[in-house]
Amino acid sequence: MKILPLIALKNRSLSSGYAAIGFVFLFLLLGPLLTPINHTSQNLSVSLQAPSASHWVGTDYYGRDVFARLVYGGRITWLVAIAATLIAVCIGTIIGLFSAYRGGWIDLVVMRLVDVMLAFPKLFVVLLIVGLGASSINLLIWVLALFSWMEIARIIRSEVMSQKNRTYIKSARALGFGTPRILLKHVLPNILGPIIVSSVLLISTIILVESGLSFLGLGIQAPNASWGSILNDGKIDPLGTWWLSVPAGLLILTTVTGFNLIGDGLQKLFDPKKSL
Amino acid sequence: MNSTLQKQPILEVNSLQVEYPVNNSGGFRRKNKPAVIDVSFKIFPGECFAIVGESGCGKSSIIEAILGFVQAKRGSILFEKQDLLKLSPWSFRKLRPLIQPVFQDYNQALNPRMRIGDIFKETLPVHLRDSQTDQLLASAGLSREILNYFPHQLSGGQKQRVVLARALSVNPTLLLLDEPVTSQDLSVAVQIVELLISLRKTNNLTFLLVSHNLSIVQLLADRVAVMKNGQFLEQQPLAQLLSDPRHNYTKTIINQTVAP
Ligand SMILES: Nc1ncnc2c1ncn2[C@@H]1O[C@H](COP(=O)(O)OP(=O)(O)OP(=O)(O)O)[C@@H](O)[C@H]1O
Ligand SMILES: [Mg+2]
Repeated sequence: MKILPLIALKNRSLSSGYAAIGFVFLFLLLGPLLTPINHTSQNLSVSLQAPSASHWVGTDYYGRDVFARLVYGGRITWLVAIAATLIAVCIGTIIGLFSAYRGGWIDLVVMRLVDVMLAFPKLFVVLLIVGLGASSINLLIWVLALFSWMEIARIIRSEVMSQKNRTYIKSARALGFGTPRILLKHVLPNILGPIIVSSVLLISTIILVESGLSFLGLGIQAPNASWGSILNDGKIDPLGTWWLSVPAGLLILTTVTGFNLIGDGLQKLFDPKKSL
Repeated sequence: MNSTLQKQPILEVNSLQVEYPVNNSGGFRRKNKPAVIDVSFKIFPGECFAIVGESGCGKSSIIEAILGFVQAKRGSILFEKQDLLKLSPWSFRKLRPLIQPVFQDYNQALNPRMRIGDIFKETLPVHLRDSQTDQLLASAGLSREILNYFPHQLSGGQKQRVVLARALSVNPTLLLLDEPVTSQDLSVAVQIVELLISLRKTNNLTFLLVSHNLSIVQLLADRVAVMKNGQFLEQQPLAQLLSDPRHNYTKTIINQTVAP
């Protein structure tokens, strides 16, 4: 890989991933231009109406426009997922780099900590959020990030392990460069590929977790929306009020599949040997 | 060799032992396999000391031990009277520039993500950068245009020259040359040897040269040690070794060697 060839349309998973994510992105970007209706304004006289000319995707129990809620809820879902991913990638990268490069007992302790965090029952995560009263989006982002950095740390660590005995790293050490310089200027640029791949894949994992939490009523709280909470609104009668469950479900599916396809495609680009 | 009697050695290695762990599946006790056994030698300022020996005899392990990249089991490595094995990481780092390796796989010695120009920028002080880069390129026989290249755009010989130029950029006194020319074809090898000879003179360098190839060693070395299975069999001035080898193994090596 000489330069980052982020656009390689011959790569089929990459191009279909871009198409899916591009579609959802345009929906989130341009949605507000298509509907003047506020996503939180209630009107009980039009409660639970099927799609019509005035409400393209119908209304929910409180008579709120579902199209508007899908747009704004989607923005929140994406914002939460991307912000949590960025935080998790920063934490995971720093910990993985440091642990692997130092090696010895530091590495041992850090990796056991990672194991403990990975073994942490997800139920606790849920209870933690409830206990902290996760009404704020910020808190949700941080909790999701704090339980997502471990995989990144592991991947980074194994990549650094494979780099640190390479001759160019030994040469840098022999020149007398310090650890921060070697990690940032020599190791990191050579493992950017795996970092990008695992970050993209992490976005879709976090979207699923957030949607699941919101579906259970634990994530994004009313009057704000997320795709998961819209699903929740439709759960009493998923078939009868299909305009609540199906569009939100499809948007989650498209986004998650899209990011997974991009992740797989980038993996193939960066490391043709690793993919099947 | 008179002068060596008065001078202090720049590098003095005493009873060096290097071991690697062996994978003995299922065993309780960690076993170690010795790669360097009780090796001692001195290198004096300005000379070229060479170690010859077949593949796997432990030559690179000596260099790795000097650089602190493998831990020595026993012995001492005195560089200008300081024992490198006892230095704190911080003090070792401070004197690292003085000891510059040219690794066996010089093809991998340059960061694949950095342009050659940036590689030099890392080691040269800002105010002298341009003039010193030009000077280094000239002394290594490289043209300015390679500064924009990435390592994969260079030939093997060019990479070797860049590695040498970068090593010189931090003003070392001792170069550790691990098989500096063996994987190149003959004409390039000759050029690199000539470059090494001239750099040694102009930069007052001391060489520790390691090779399995006596014909390369003959071109550069003042004194030669013959190594086999981790041990030094003998060490002598080059002429003496060639005319009066003590060990049968040395004789075999000499007989295999084509005269340069
Ligand atoms: N990292 C390592 N782990 C385990 N054993 C090693 C390691 N490095 C070297 N060895 C072993 O130590 C011995 C000496 O290796 P070394 O690389 O020093 O030989 P060499 O003389 O440089 O050989 P060559 O001419 O092929 O480079 C070999 O038997 C080798 O298998
Ligand atoms: Mg070797």
